[in-house]
Amino acid sequence: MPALLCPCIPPASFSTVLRRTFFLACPIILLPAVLTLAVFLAACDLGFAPPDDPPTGTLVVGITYENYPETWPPTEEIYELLFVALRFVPKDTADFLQLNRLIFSERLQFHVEQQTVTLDSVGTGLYPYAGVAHKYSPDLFAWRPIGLVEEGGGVIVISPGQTTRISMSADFLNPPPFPPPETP
Amino acid sequence: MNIRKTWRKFAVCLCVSWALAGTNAAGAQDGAVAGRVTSTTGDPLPGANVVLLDTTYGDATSEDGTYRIGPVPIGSYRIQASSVGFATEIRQIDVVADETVYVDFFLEPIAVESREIVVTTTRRTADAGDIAASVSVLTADDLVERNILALDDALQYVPGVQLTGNEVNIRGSSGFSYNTGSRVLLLVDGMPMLSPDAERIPFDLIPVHQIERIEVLKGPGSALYGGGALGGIIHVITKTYPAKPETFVEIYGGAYQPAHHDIWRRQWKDGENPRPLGGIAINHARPLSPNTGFWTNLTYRYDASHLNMNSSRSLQGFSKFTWRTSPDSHVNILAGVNRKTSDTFIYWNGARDALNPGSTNLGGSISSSGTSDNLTQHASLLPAYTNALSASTLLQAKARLFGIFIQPLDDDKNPKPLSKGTIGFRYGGEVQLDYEPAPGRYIIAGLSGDANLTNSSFTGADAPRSQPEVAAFTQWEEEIGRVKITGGLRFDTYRIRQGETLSKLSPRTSATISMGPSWTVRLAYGEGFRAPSVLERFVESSDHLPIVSNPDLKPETSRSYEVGVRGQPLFGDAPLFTIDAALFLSQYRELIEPKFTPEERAFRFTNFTRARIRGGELELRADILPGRASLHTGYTYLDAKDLETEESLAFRSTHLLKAGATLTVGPLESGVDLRLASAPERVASDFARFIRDAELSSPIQVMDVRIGASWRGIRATLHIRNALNYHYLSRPALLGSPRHAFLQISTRM
Repeated sequence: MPALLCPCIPPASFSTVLRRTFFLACPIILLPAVLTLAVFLAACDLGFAPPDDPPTGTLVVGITYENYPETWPPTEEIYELLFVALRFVPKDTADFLQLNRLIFSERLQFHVEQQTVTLDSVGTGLYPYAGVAHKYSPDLFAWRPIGLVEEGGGVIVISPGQTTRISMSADFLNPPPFPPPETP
Repeated sequence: MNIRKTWRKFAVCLCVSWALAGTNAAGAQDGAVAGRVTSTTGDPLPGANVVLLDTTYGDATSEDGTYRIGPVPIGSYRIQASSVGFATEIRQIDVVADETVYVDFFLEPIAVESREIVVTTTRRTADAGDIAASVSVLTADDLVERNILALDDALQYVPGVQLTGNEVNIRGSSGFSYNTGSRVLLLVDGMPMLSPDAERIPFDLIPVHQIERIEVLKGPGSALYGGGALGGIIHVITKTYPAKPETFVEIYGGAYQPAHHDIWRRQWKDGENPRPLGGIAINHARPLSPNTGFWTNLTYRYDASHLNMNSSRSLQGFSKFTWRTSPDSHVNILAGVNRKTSDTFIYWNGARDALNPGSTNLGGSISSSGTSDNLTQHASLLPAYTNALSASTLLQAKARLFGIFIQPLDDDKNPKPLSKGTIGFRYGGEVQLDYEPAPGRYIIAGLSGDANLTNSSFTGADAPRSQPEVAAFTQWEEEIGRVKITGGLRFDTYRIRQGETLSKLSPRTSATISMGPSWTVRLAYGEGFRAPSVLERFVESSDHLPIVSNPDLKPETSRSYEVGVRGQPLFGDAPLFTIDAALFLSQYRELIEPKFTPEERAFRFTNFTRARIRGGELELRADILPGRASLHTGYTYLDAKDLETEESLAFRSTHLLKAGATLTVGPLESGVDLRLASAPERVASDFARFIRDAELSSPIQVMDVRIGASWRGIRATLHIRNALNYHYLSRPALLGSPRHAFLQISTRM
C-alpha cells in the first residue's frame, strides 16, 4: 500500500485492519456521516431560485398597414418584423435588446393590410412605448419603429387576468421619429 | 553590435557549460549510498525522500524503508532524509570509490511538516516561513484526495481565491471582466503559459496527476515574471520521474443531479435526468537509466454538464523526460497535446430558463448565440536546462512553445476550417543566473524574450497579429541578522505595432523579520501590469455581440502593499498548526473591460476605471493527528471600491471563507471542504442591457464531501460535490454546478 494512501498503518490483512480500526472508525466516521445527513435534510436545495411566476394578462393588438400594398418594401429588405412593447421609452435602438424590459410577438405576416396579434402571459403593468419594429439589415441594432401605439396616450396597461385590446397603424414610408422626442 | 557580441559570448558560454556537464559525468569515479529509513519506533517509512543535498542524486524508500543512491561520484556530501509527518534529518557522509556507504535514519514524528518549500516568490527554492509574500500551496495529495480534474477545479480550494466563471480572482483582483485577458499569470515550471491569443489561463493544459504542487502568490508579481501578474501568480510545478517504475490508473464516473426547480426542468427536458460525467487517466513513470527517466500521461474526460449545450470531451497526452547530464546539471523536457470538443454555455435565457442558453436577437430569425461550439487543441513544449556551475552559482535556461488551434463546429459538429477560427503561437525563452556570493546573500539576474503570433477570424484583416516582448530582471536578497531584505526590478518592453513599443518598469521590495523560532513578520510592496492581448486590441466580430477594436488600449497596472505575520507556535517540541495573517492594500489603474459604446453600436475593450481593494486574510492549517486528521481554513475580507464612481467594485465578494478537514482511520478516509462567499455588493455590466437577468447575483455556499477506502493499492472514493445542492451563480447569467456525485477508483502499481 503506498505511503500516500495510508502512511500510519503497516501492511496487514484486510480483516486485521478492519478489526483494528472498527471501534475507532465507527464513532469517527459514522458520527459525521449522521450529522452530515441531518444537515442535508435541513439545508438542501437552498440558494438562488427562479423568480415566481409574475401576474400576467393578455394583449390583443390589431395592426393596420397604411397605403397597402405600395408602402411595403421587398421581402429581402425585411429581416424581421415584430410587435414590441417596452416598459420604458427607448433612447437608442440598442435599447430594443433590453430583453428584461420588453415583450415581443412572433414574426408578423409580411405583405398584409391588417393583422391581429395575440400575446399571452404578458407581465402586468405599464408599457409606455409600443409598436411595430422593423429590422432593416443584418446588423444586430438595425431596428426602427414603423408605427406606434397611440391609444391611451401611447401607454398600454396590462391588468392581471384581463385581456387588453388595442389598435394601431403602421407605415413603412412614414415611420415615427426615433429616438422619440423627449417630452418636457 | 555590442549586444550581438554579448549574445555570441553568452551562447559560447552556454555551449561550454553543456560540454563541461558532459565531461563531469564521464570522468568521475563512483561509489554508492544505501540504507533504511524508519521511525523512532522502528516502523519502516516507505516513500521517504533521501537526497544528497546540492546535487540531483536521490531516491525514495521502498515498502521496507530501504533506499539506494548510486552510482555517486566520490566526495563529501550532506544527505537528507525526509518524510511527511516526521522531522527531517541531515548527515555528513564521504563517498569513496567502489564502495557503498550505509546510512540509516531514525526519524522523529512531528505534528506538522515544518519545512514547506515555495519557489514562486523569489524565483528560487525558499522556506515558506522566510518569504515576504502570501503564498498558498496545494500539494499533490490535496489534488489526488479531491479528484481534482483541472486547474480551475483545484483553485476553488485556495483561500483568497475565487473563480468567477472562468476568471481567477485573487483577493478581488479580477472580478468578472467578460473575457478580458487574465489578471493572474500562469507559470508551468517557471515559464509563463497564458494563451497566445487572448492571454487567458488554459486550465486543462497540465495533467493534474503529474502536478507536484501548485503555489498561488497573492499580489502583483510583475517584478518577478512580467506582464499578466497584475493580481497574482499560479505556479504549477510538475513531478519528476520516480526511483522505481510506477503505473497509476484512475477511472471515475458519476452524474449531475437533475434540476431541482420545476420551471427549469420544464424549459429543458434533459434537465429532468441525471447528466453523466466521467473519465480515465493512465500514468506511467520510470527511470530509463541511472541518469534518465520520464513520465507519461493519457487522460480522457467527458462531462455532459448540468446546462444545455455545455458538454465537453477532452483527450490529453503529456510527457516529461529528465536527463541528469551530470551530478550538477539536468535537462527537463515537458511536452503535450490536448484536444477538447466543447459546447460552451455563455449566458442563460433568463433566471426562469437558467439551463438553456439565451439569445440577444429580437426575434427567432437567428439561432441562439448564448453558446459557442469549438474544437480547441493545445500543443506545448517546455525544455529546461539547469546547471550548478559552482557551489554558489546556478544557471537555468528555459524555452517554451505553446500553440493553440480553435475551430468552430458546424451544425453537424464537424470542425470548420482553421481560417474561421483562431491559430496562436507563443514562443520564447529565458536565462537566469542565481549567485550566492556569501551565506544569506542571493543575487538573481536574467533575460527573457517572448513572442506571440495570432491569426484569428476575430481580428480585423489588417490588424498586427503579434506582440513580441523582451525583458530583463534582477533581484537582490540580503540577510542581516534576523532581517531578510529583498529588492527586485524588471523591465519589460512590448512591440504593440510597427514602430511603437510599450515599456514598463516593475519594482518590488520586501522584508521578513524573524521574531524567534516560530514567528515571522513580513512587509512587502510590489507593482504589476498586464499588457492588453492581441484579441483585446484588435477584435472585430459580430458573431455573438458586435465588438470593435481599440488599438489604443493601455496596460492595466497595480500596486500592492502588504503586512503579514506567519507563525508555527510550538506546543512541546513540535508545532501544532501554521497560522498566516495579512493586511493588504492594492491599487489598480486603467482596468480593462468590454463596454458598450452607443455611437458605434458595439462593444469595445476600454480602459474604464481605477480601483482600490483593501482587506485582510487569515489562514490556518493544522495537522491535528499527523497523517490522520488535518484541518485548514482561510477567511478573506475585501473592501473593493471603484474610485471613479465611489461605488463598490463590481463582482467582488466582501467575505470569502474556505475550510476543509480530512480524517484518515486505517484504510478509511473522509474529508469535507466548504466554500462560502457573500454575494457581490454590486453587479454592473453593459451586458445586463442585452442579456436577460444578467444583473442578478447570489452568495455561494458549497460543501464537498468525500469518503473512501484503500486496500492493496486500490483506492475507491465517493465524492459528492455541492452536497447541499446549493444553487448559485458562478458568474452573471451562469448557474453553478448542482449536486453531483461520482465514484473514483484508482490503483498504483
